[in-house]
Amino acid sequence: MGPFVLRRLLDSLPVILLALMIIFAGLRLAPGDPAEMLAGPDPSSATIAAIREAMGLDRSIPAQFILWLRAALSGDLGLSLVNGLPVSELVGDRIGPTVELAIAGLFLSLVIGLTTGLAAGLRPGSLTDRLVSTFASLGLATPKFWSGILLIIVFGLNMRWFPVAGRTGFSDGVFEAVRSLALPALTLAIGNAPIIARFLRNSIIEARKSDHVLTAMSKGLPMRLVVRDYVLRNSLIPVVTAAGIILGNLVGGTALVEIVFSWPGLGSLLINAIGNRDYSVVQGVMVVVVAGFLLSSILVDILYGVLDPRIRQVNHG
Amino acid sequence: MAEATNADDYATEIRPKADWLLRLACMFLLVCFLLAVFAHILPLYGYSTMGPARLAAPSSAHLFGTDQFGRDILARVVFGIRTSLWVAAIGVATSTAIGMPMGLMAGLLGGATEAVFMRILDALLAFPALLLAIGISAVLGSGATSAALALGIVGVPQMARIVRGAVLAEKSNQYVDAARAIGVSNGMIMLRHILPNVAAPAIVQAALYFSVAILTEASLSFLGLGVQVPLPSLGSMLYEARQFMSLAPWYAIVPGTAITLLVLAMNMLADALRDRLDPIQ
Repeated sequence: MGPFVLRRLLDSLPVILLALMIIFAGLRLAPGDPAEMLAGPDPSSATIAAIREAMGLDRSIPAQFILWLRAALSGDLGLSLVNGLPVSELVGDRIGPTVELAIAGLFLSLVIGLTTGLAAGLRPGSLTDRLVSTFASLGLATPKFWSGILLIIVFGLNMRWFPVAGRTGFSDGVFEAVRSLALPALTLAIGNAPIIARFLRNSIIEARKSDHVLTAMSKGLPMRLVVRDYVLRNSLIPVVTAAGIILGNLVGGTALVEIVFSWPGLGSLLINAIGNRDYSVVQGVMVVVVAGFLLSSILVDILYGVLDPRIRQVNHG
Repeated sequence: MAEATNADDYATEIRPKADWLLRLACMFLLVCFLLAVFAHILPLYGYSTMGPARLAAPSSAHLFGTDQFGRDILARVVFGIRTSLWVAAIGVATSTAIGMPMGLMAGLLGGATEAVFMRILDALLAFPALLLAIGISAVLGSGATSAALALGIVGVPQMARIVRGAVLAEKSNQYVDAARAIGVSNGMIMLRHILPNVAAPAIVQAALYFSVAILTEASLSFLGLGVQVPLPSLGSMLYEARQFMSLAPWYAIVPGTAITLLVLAMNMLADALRDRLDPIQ
């Protein structure tokens, strides 16, 4: 297992480096001069030159990239162009709420996706299967910001079951925290549970046709046991693939959901920073989100290897 | 496609989409397309014409009600559909124009070209799609053109990978070896022999990406990064409607339904195309 993990990490290094280059180049291409923005209103040319030198902007582009990369790796993401605060601090404050939302979204997606996928896969062609399929198509086609708005109208404004905006931290009471998390997480799940459900349904149908399941059924094992021990175990591997796919959706989706529910996470920080042309914050958020996304993709791959020994073998060879 | 006789057979084949549903989806897309093309000559209010009735409920004068400036929501949705289809179409065209040659060259030439192209695509795939679109729009500035370009770039990796995969499968066929043996150049092999055979998966990918592009354009506009005022877009209408959820719920329901139906219909069309053109996938 050790060499497999190491190999997967080494494989992703060039991709991470290229992704960081793209983010760095993006900031260079963005309109406006960061030194002028940091210098405040009516700066003298000497002030701007001094800031340029301090930021390393007077050096060559490759030198600037290495300088930036070295700082970023040590946790220094520069200063906000708008309020001069360290970007790592601004980003650090927002990571918690976003991770909380993404994990809750993933959890709900898995719960809804697994139960509906199982129900549909065990009785293909039935009314349940058709209903699941219809709702899955609808869920995939609905924009997250719209399902969020609809949930607010129904469960927030009309029924008053859940707060319509904002986040309550877990330190202020678990019940209230879960209540504030419920609608945003459900919004994420509406778009992502269908992916899990479809993968599970199809893999259950495949697994039920395989020889070992047919043998188990022909020797008279109760259906419940066949499903639990023979069908489900093999059908769960594609679900890990589906979870890998929805990771990217979750990361992008949180940005939209955070705006709808005024959730104080990285997504709302990013959108505000774009509005203020605060490109160093934009860059900082991008670095953190892409790093998080890549790390979780690697985790999914490792989980894949844990569940299916054949994948480890292939990677050894 | 014939209906299967029992439940298990039914499930094992690609589920046949009910034909009438597919026809309905195609008709809906056709109506949207016609609305988009002829929006300016239809007997509608102007999309930025303000009226005295603000946040008015649906009535015979305003079929879908009015917004906070008294503008007709029907007119804005029709022009919003036009924006959505237009931006998504340019996005899909751009991603095909860049991704297809990349995939063709990577698959056919192999070696260093393939290695370099694939690393670039991997790096683009390291960004969650919506985040990449947001980042590109941030750099290019908001507006329809930059949104379309962002959609174009975001779609490149998928298109290039699918075309490369199809080329690799096609390249190993004997007729390509034969062409090469009689001295046909790489460019000619690509144009005359391989391109016609990878067209089907590319068309299917373009159709699938069209619905993703509609959703992403709406998301960018919702975040204020897409089409700018006074031009209406379904996404930006929803952003504005958000503030009037309790006063005028129809304001959010109409554009949201329009996006969902557009994406749903496009997904159905793409699935049907895939079943017919590309049975291997």
